[in-house]
Formats: sequence, C-alpha cells, structure tokens
Amino acid sequence: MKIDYAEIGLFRDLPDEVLAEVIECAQVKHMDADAPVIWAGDECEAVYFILAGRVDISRLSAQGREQVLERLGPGEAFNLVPVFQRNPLNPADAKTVGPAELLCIERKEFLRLMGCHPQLTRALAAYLAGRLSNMVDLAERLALFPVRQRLAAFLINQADAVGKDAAQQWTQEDIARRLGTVRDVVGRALRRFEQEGLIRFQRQRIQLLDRERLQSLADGRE
Amino acid sequence: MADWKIPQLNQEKCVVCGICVDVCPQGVLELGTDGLVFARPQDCTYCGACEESCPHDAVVCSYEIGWA
Repeated sequence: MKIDYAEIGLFRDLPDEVLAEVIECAQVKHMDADAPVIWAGDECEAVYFILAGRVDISRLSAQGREQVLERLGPGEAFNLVPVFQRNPLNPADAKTVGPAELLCIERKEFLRLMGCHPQLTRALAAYLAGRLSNMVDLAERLALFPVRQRLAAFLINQADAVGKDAAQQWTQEDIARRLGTVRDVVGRALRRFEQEGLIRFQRQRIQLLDRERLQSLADGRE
Repeated sequence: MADWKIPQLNQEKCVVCGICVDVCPQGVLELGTDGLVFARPQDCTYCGACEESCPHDAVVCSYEIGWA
C-alpha cells in the first residue's frame, strides 16, 4: 500500500526533506480490530499517527466505567502529550475500533526530530492547541450538559458526518462511553426521542427526523 | 438477503437466563442445547427488545446514524 504521509495533519506543511527524515524514523503497524495500542499509566514509548482505521482514546474509572475521550480517524495523532513530560506516562488507553494502520515513532526519536526541526515543533504545538480546545469542550459538556443534550449533539454530529466519512456502526454501549454515561440511560433517552418524534429506528439505522428541535435540545434551549 | 443483520450475541457474557427469549415479540430467540440461538433470524425486526432486556449486555444492536 502506498502511504500518503501528507494526509497526516501534523506533517502536512513540513518541507520535503524534514518529512523524509520523519518517515525514516517511523514504523508502520498493522492492527486488528479491537486491539489495544497503549494502556494508560504505562511508560510512554512512542507517538502514533493513524494512517487508516479508527482509534478510541479512553480512560477507565476504578469502578470499571469507561469514558471515550475521542474517536480519532485517519490523519490524526495520539500519545503526544507525554513526549513533553518529565515522567512520561501514557495518559489514556488507545484501542482500535476496526482494523487499523498506524505509524509509530519512538518517543526519543520524536524528541530528537523536534530538536532538529522547529517546523515540526510548531506544527505539533498548533495540533495540540486544537486538541486541547476539543478537550475543554468535552469537559464542559460532561460537567454542565444533561444526557439528553449531549445525546442530541452527538446524533447531529454523527449524522452530519455521513458522506464526509465512512459510515460507522454505533451500539448503545459505544454511545454511552462517548457521552460519559451507561447503556440503560442511552437506551431510555433514545426511546424518548423516538416517542417525541425526533428520531426513528429503522432496522440498523437511527434516522434523525427533526433537525430544528434536536439542535434546540443540543443547544440547551429546551 | 446478505445484509439482513440480526443483533450480535456474545456467548461469553450470556448466562442463558432466557429473559430475551420471553421478551422477543417475534419469537426469534430460543434456548437450544448449546445456549441461546437466533432460531428464526428472518423474523427479526431489529426492535432492540432483546438488547434492552439483557441484564448482562450479551445482546447488542448496532446502528448507523443519519438524517431521514
């Protein structure tokens, strides 16, 4: 398979010679579906870039409840934060959703590359700023928004992504992990949406029927 | 009927309690000698009753999300 490294957001604006050096330090990993890539708390050994497939970034509570922080797709990167830490530990679990191909660069190599190439460091800072902004949004939603509001926003985001992206299959458990709740709560909320005429279950599809009211819910206006 | 999907069953989680067999409005599920089976998959309407009733999360329905 020919890999287009320019598809990786962080590498997009790098000069050719810098990109060539980065690629020389990288390894491609072929991963099965539902395969763990890293575990939270383990020493950070590498940074990862997604070439194909999807990866869930999540944290697990002591009670065993999982919160998916992000579902990342092709072109995105993870495990970048501990590169800068003195005690570099993986901050979260990472697990493939389906089969995936990852580009992996050892932490020490990545640090060396950043030291040699300020363009890479600047690109990394810009990328991390965007991700931090997403995390602040997530913290706000989890802390302040009720489940109905979070679910409405999630459904709109997923439905709007259809066409731009490969179709994804979601179980109620998947949705619960994204919203920071449990399956039963998601199931009840979806049934209530259905009774209210906001959505329709049609075999393997959840069809969204009323954008205006769903958006109003997502915005906390009702 | 290649894309006629039925809910996924996780045999490791299933304790063969039979609750889903009782709630399925179409009588699709049965308790066989090897555990729970989708005996009449063609009758499954994917209503999700089996998933909602399962206390062990052994039956799972998956959905695409899109605009009507």
